[in-house]
Amino acid sequence: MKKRTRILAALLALVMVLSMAACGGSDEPVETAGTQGESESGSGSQGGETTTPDGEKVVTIAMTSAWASWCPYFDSGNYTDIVSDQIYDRLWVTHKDGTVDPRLAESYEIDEDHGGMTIHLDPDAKFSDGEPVTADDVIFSAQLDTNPEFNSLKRDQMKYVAGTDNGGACENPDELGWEKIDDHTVHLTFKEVMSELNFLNMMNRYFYILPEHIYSQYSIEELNTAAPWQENMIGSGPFVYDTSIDGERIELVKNENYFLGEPQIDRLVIRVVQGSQLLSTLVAGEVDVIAGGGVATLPLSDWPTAQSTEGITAVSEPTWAYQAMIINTTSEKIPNAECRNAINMAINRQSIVDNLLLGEGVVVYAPFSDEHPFVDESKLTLPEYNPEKAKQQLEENGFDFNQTLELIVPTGNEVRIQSTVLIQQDLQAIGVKTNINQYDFATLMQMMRDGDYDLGMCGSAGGIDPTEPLGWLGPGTTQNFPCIQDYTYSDMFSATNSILDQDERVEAFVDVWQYLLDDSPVCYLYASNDLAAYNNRVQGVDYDEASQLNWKTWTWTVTE
Amino acid sequence: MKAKYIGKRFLIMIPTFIGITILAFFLSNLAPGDPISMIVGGAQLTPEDVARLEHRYGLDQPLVLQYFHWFARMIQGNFGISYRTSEPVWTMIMNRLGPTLLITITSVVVSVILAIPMGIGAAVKPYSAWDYISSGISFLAVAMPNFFVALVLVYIFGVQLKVLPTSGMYTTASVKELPDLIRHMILPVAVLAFQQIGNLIRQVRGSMLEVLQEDYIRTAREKGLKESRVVIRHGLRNALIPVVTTIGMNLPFIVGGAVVTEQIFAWPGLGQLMVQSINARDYSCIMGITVVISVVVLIGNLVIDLIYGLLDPRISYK
Repeated sequence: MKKRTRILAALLALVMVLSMAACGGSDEPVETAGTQGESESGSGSQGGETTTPDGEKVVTIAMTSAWASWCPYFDSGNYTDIVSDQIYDRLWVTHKDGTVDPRLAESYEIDEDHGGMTIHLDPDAKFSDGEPVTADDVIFSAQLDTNPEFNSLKRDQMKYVAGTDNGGACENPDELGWEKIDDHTVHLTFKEVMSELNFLNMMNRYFYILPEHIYSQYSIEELNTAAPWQENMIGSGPFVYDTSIDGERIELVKNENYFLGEPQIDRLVIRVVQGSQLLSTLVAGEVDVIAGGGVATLPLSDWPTAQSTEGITAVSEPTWAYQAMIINTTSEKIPNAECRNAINMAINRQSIVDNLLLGEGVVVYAPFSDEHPFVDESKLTLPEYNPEKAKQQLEENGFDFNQTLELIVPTGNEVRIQSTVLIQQDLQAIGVKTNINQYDFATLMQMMRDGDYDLGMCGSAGGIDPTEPLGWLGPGTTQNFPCIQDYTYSDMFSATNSILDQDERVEAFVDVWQYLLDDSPVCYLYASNDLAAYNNRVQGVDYDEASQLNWKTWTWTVTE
Repeated sequence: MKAKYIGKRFLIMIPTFIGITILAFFLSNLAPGDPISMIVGGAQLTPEDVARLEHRYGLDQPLVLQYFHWFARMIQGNFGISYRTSEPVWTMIMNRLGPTLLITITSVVVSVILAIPMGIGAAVKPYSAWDYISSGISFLAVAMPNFFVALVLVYIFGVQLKVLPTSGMYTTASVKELPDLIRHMILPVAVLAFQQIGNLIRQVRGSMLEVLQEDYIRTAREKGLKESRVVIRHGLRNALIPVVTTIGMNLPFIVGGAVVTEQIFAWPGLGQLMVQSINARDYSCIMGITVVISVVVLIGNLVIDLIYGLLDPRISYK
């Protein structure tokens, strides 16, 4: 018996040792050509996680889900972009108000006929392996992004470049409207005449410049897998990949040769923390910055604590993100635009903002709030809350009050789920019966795309580009949730692209928004603020830029 | 005889395993929601782009054909590419399996080490203070949801006392040190061990109470053996069979990961990957994880059956 016990104990110990070994082995740092600054870090106390014993300055950013891809073009979500933006640089950054600041491109000139633009690259810009960033890299990145065989999910940003189709794909790279002028100059030809700011707002946010000398060695088949990207994470951004733990964290070290200035912190850690744990990890000193920008927002229940906690700066930042209730335009239960408009009018948006968002947000009627440069509510007839008029309009337009509408909502966003209940009560008040069902996001998307619903809750990250709402508003896109059958919206939005004068373009959108409000395929509801916070030991964190992925992390400093 | 028994069990495992893969494949594919929608996310793709993606992942083929292609690749050791990350599924699983086994096995060991003496104590002196304390802990552990325990521990040890890290696996990924790993393991392991300890205490107590009434225990006592020897040597050995069964039933959890605990403590385990894969309808990853879990559970059950024989010589293998 003793022998058997010893054998069992030995086996148990062996399993423990093996599992320990498995943990260590699986997450070995991947050395890259650009890796710099291996350094010792403390394993010790709280707060020690932000500055290592050897004085290395570390800042840890928290987001609530892991990055999905090592390639910046394989994912359409901000969780990957927040990482990509530190490693790979873009030509410009677009601010929240639509203005742009140079990064890799130090300047540009628009063609006289507004048919294109000439872009001058910063001659000091270098990749982390020391190679200069040249026009060839820009052309290569554009050709790769537009290559239909490449699995880019950011291709539609190129759809206004000459030589591409409606989705931004280009079958023949020689026909693509990117042209090298010299080593540091490229010319870009638009598909049609358009304002350069309009183009930049649509294109620039996710156009990461990749090193041609690295990735041109691989075939498209190889580039469609993770390996080349994971093994060669070479970019021209302020930080360089150092190591990671799959699904838990990615650690970057400073790019000492960053052309906009050497970062003031040595190591940038981007970690995954569950939403409910954001504040506790911040208070415990395990993270320094809650990312905001749609990738980590404090729960409203934690917001008062965040505001009153010493040593922490809590920020409530308005964004262009919005929530909406989409109406299935093919549903026989809601027979026409007048009925949709009446439903839109029956919703008490202010109640949602006051009671659920605790004032940390605003009511929206058009896709964006009145603060958006392309929205001027004073010129619009808004579907403001008017239950009596809504009921009368439904009665006059043959709405059947005996039927029950299926109202679907995705799981996850608590405020959105609670707002669905308030909307149900608003509709009940005018005699419209609804049945609420919750589904996981994948199921809900399929139901909405198939038109298997009447009313559906959904949200969008929005943006400064006023054509962003078009994604929901017409056939030929993957998110035509209202099941719109014609190209009216597509034509209306496209017509605004060729307007060169910004004021005229804003004026043109008044008609677009008014048509949208009267037609009401979507009831735009509210825009909640980004609730974030950071430890006061970090300076330079600007949440106004977070929603645009414009962290200037190389200017961040830390004090103890 | 035992070798023949093991061989027979392995043969039975083959159709069982195939059945599991068929069920998992078709059930996950029949669930509403498709992987392409989730891959695309907020991106605006044309129908041509969507068709290209479907073709690349073989999703444009009939479901039965997709299954046979997947199965043919799987038996050659190719688990495919994740739709979500474009990484090999096998690599993703192996990256996550280690961290999961680390906390689940440790938690099982901790819970067994704590539950057995508590259960024995409660059975040897029923209705004593020790029994009430053990039973109280047992009821508390069974009644309290693990997310609540996790949040309480985070608040006490992370926020108030600031003595233990509340998330992640290491302080820094660039230097992975064992003491640092152990510090990060303490809270998730404590939550998981607490979750299991309730049932184990009750199992040990119940089976010990039963065994201690047996004739051979009375005989042992009448022979003049020490009480501790009677309880440990003759009682516990027989009482362990239901305990081993309980641990055996925990095998899917041990391999599959503790979803809630991994999420709360941002522990990069297999449970977390499974949730992400299901949410993203990443069928290749779901199937890969299912294969790993089912193989381990099937083999684990065989091992548990063999352990029964070690504990009770009356059990024979035919």
